[in-house]
Amino acid sequence: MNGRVVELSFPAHSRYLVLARLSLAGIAPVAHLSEDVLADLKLAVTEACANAVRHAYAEDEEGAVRLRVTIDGSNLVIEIADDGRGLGAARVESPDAATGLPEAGMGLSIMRAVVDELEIESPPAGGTVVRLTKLLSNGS
Amino acid sequence: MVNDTVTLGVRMDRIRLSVPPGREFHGTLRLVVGGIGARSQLTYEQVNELQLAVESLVAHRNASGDAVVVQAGVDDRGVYLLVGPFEPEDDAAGLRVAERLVGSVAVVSLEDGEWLELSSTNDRAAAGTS
Amino acid sequence: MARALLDQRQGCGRDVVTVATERERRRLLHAYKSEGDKAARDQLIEDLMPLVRSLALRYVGRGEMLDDLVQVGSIGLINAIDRFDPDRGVELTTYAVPTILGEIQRHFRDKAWAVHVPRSVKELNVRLARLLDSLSAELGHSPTIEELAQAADADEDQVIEALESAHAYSVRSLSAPFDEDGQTLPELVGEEERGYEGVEQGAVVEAGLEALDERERRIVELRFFHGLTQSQIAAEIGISQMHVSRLLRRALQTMRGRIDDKLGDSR
Repeated sequence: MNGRVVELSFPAHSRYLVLARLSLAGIAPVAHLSEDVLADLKLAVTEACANAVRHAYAEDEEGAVRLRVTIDGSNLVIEIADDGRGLGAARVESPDAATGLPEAGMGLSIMRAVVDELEIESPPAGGTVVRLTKLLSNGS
Repeated sequence: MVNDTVTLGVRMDRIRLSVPPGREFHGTLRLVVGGIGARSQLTYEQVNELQLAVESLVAHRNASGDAVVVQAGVDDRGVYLLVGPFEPEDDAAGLRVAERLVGSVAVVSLEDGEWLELSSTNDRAAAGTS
Repeated sequence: MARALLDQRQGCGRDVVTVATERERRRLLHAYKSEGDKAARDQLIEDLMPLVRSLALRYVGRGEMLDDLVQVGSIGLINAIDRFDPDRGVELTTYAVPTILGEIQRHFRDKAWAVHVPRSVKELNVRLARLLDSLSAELGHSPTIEELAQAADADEDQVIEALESAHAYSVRSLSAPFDEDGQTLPELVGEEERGYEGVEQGAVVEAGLEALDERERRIVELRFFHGLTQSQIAAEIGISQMHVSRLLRRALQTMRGRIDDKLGDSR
């Protein structure tokens, strides 16, 4: 079955993270997401996008973050991609260098907790893709 | 993909949204356009009317391809949108209404269909709605 | 007991974050689980408070203060630590997250939210509606989101999402009377798509106006024929600017012969 796809790309800056959440809010009725699931997905997507905003590009670099949501019958696949440094999983797992806090690693825990599948890739072309899959059930 | 002109020396943030054709995704268009407007220097009313203009024009059109795209530019003056592609449509009334709502509206004919060009800038805030 | 400890800690004004590696956490966990070492547990709790905080932060803007959310989340953390079985092969942080989130979410449910939109967001919207009008009067024009957020003493993101949830709210109440005046949608919608004729003065079409009620027609006239801004219309009619926005939107939809995408969406 052909999935319905919504794509959003925005500058890698925290001021535009809200657009990712607004996209999800728009998709929610189409995918029949409950309030709770929508809230959880907003949380996970904000984490993933914020991670890209913080780490993907170097200080003086400008880049974009791409969100792609595919509604495919029984599941929702959300991909957050950037064309930046692409350290992959290591980048998401390691503690925030500046403060020594393990918070960045906790972002991964947050994502894992609210979705059914989580994959992180660094494609050969560069950058990073975080793929979240949420299984949909009626009245979930 | 259309290259819109860039005002020299002014930083412009670019946002792109693509949704499937169909009424059920008009809400997504509206929400994201609103968010883009809210993140610019436009006032609440200007953002609201930009949403209204987009919504009212898009509701009256059929997508000519398999997606409806919004290409947005944001600089310190306001928001510039390019929405399409749509099948050619004679919607003079709708265009006039939209023109009253935002600063400028135009229809651009390209190979893949008609695109709507809308922009709302800060100069209007002082000038009022005329 | 643990709650008293947390209160005490917060009262001290200390915000110490101890960075522990997973190995260190396991050591503390072991000390607590097998030897009942309470100090080890407290250390573990303190170490993981940043996790609770970062989860709680995501729920800010729903009408609950961050401190309360952190307090609630910490209960989830304590439960998670108590229930955690190190032999399961899962990391403590991974295990704790759903428990902490669950506790925070349960807290919201217990606070009797309105069906679709949390009361707190509605309250923020009411405040924003008032501020929109008072700021417009003060500034002489509609405020920017930044100005609104400052006046509301809220985060800009919160304001943006609150304003957009008002859209969702109006869209979802379609089964009920369409607006506060009790008119239902079928009454408002023209029977068929109408032809359009131009009007010399402005952009508005004569035929479409027939489908509107008196107030909507007035708003459309003021907006398109007389060129008033929404805030000026609001002052003129005596309703809020947000209400003018909603009515104007609906009027345009009616006139254009199209119904909002949510209507009759039985997909």
